[in-house]
Amino acid sequence: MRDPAPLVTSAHDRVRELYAPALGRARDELTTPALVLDLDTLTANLSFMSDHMRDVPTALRAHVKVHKSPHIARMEVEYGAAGVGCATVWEAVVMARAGIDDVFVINEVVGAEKTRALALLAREANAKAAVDDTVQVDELSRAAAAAGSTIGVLIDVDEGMHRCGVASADEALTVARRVADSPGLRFMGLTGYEGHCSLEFDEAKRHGMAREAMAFLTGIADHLAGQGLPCEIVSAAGTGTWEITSRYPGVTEIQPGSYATMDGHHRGLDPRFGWAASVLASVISRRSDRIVLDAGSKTVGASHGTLADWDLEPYRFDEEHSIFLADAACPLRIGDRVAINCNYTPFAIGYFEAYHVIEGGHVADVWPVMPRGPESRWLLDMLERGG
Amino acid sequence: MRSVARSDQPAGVLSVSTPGLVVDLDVFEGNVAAMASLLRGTGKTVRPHVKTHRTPELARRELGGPVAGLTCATVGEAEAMADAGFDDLLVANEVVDPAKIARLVALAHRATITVAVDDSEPVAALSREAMAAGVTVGVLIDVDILLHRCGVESARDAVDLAGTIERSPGLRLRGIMGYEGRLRLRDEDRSGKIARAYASLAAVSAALRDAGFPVEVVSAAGTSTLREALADPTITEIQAGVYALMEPELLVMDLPFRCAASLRGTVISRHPGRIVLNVGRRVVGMEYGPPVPVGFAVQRIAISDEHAIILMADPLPPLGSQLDLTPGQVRTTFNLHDHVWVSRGGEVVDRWPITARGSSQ
Repeated sequence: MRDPAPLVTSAHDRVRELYAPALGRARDELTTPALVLDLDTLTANLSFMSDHMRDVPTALRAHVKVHKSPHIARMEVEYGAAGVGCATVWEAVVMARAGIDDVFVINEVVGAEKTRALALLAREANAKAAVDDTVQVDELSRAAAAAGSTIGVLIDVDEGMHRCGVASADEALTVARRVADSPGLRFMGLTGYEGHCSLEFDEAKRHGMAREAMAFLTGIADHLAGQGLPCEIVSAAGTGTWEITSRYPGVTEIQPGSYATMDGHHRGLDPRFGWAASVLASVISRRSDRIVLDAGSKTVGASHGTLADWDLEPYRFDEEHSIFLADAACPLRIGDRVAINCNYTPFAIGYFEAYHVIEGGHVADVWPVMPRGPESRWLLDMLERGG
Repeated sequence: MRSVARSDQPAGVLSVSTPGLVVDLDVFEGNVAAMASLLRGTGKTVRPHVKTHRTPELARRELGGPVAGLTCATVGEAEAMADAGFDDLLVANEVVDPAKIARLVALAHRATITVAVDDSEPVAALSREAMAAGVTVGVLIDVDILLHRCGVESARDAVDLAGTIERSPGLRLRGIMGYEGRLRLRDEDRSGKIARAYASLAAVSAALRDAGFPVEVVSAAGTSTLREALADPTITEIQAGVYALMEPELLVMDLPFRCAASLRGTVISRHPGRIVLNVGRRVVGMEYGPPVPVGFAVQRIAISDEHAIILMADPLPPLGSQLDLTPGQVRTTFNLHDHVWVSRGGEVVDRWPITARGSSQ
């Protein structure tokens, strides 16, 4: 892994300066609401995944869309991830500049500024993108030719989620042939995301659905191989299906993201990963029957959360407040800090610009959330300048 | 309020980088004018709530007319607005962290600052800081009139707290505030809830006056209860925010406001009967329902983190085309963006920073 570029180091410096008073402080003295990251739990999550991946034939592609953190992504690579997955081209730019060579935008990249950014990025990193239509293939090819680079391309397969992705082996073949015939592009294989499985909490049913999805995906890979287009990469899975998919014959890599920081939804699917990210809040009003916290849907996210260390029943989540029932026996009073475990962490991340990294109960560092987006055209300007 | 220089002038028609948040300035200004018309002759003022958009350039365009100043939900929002030159700010929320109290008091050097309180402990801390800084901070007693969130629960508690405030140097008791929350037309016992909420305000106001305390301000209400608040004799200023941008679910409320904000997305994937836009929950708030298509008909819309999956009839828009959706919840949506694109006469002509994005501290 290369050292992080100034894009990332300067963002790190900026948030360290912005939150300078927090550095070294006890977690429970932080200004709130604050996004806190428990380093020991994060490390345990990465280590658990890493131990598992040593025993299976697949590689880990850590999806960064959940945490949007160059620092966490680098740790994931240090723990054995072969590369990262991204939801946007801007995330890929940031992760490449964080020093990670293998960056895959596991999404359709459409629009001149985004294909241009990807093509420029491919000059300096092993950049890949997903496609599900020959129109995207043609646009990517033109962009790569203009930039003089080569973009890796994977065919996005709809494994049952009915979002993006080709729906049949024939469609996959048509698009794959177009990729193989297009200058500036390199056909690399297939990608799919069985996201519909992650809504099924019954493990046996979920595994059955995942196997069905993998049979479809690997069947298409076999079909393409039979037509002279072998797949170097067959990528799939999320935190809900990572384990079964990691052992499925024909799959070469898995792309989970939530496993690192975790949240209530994913712990419902796999409780072996711990809650590393949470939102720290303060009690700002103490009434006879309840406490009012200064974090609500504008910081925890619309999916809300539960208290990490207190068994209190939620009363209501508003934008800037969350309210929990607490009678006189509850010792919480005005000014006390409590951590809220998010039911769905991605929504919380979008509301913060930095993580307070907690080690031994104190703030060891402040890490930027990057790119915050969604408007990140300045990253294209940076690539154009050659900066 | 003093006038503040406007940001950079329009520089021709701009192309929106998607997913992008767009405000139709013509509609926005129409909403602001409609609010001014509603207030005219009532003797009441509006104190626009900037938590709605966290954008100084939009706040600036809500001034003029019967406007008392701005309402903020956090100290961070108040700092951003003071930095932009606004000089009358109400933080309609409890501020209890000593570090935040210090920041709030520091703002009183450059703006008239008022803050909500519901407990004597932060009152003492506010007083100490204000004394040390040599400034006066205005205080409103927050009354729990309906929401069971913050706020004193009785007129007696309010009178006790008023006594504490009056004995606290550096603080000036200005009145009371309460918030009845969003009340929809079909909410159970809507009119009863509003009547009881405003009766609480009247009772607390009367109790304070009887005890000899000043009540120059009674601040309350939001866009959903605007009509009732305008008709209420106790309320002096209205803390509405959403009115200027509006949200689809409030369009049934017989209010003279139209939706001014939209999300512009690009069609990134296309299949029989289905398109996918690059607009997901990472860029749109969903608390009041999914975003609503603008100018095209859909059968169903499902939103995941980075995508909107839209089922619709032929002809499907081509790959790469841009479509607009109206956000169901404008406040959480604005808080997910760095900039808002500005359209005038249907053309995007400018882009303004959402300066206070993420200023939840």
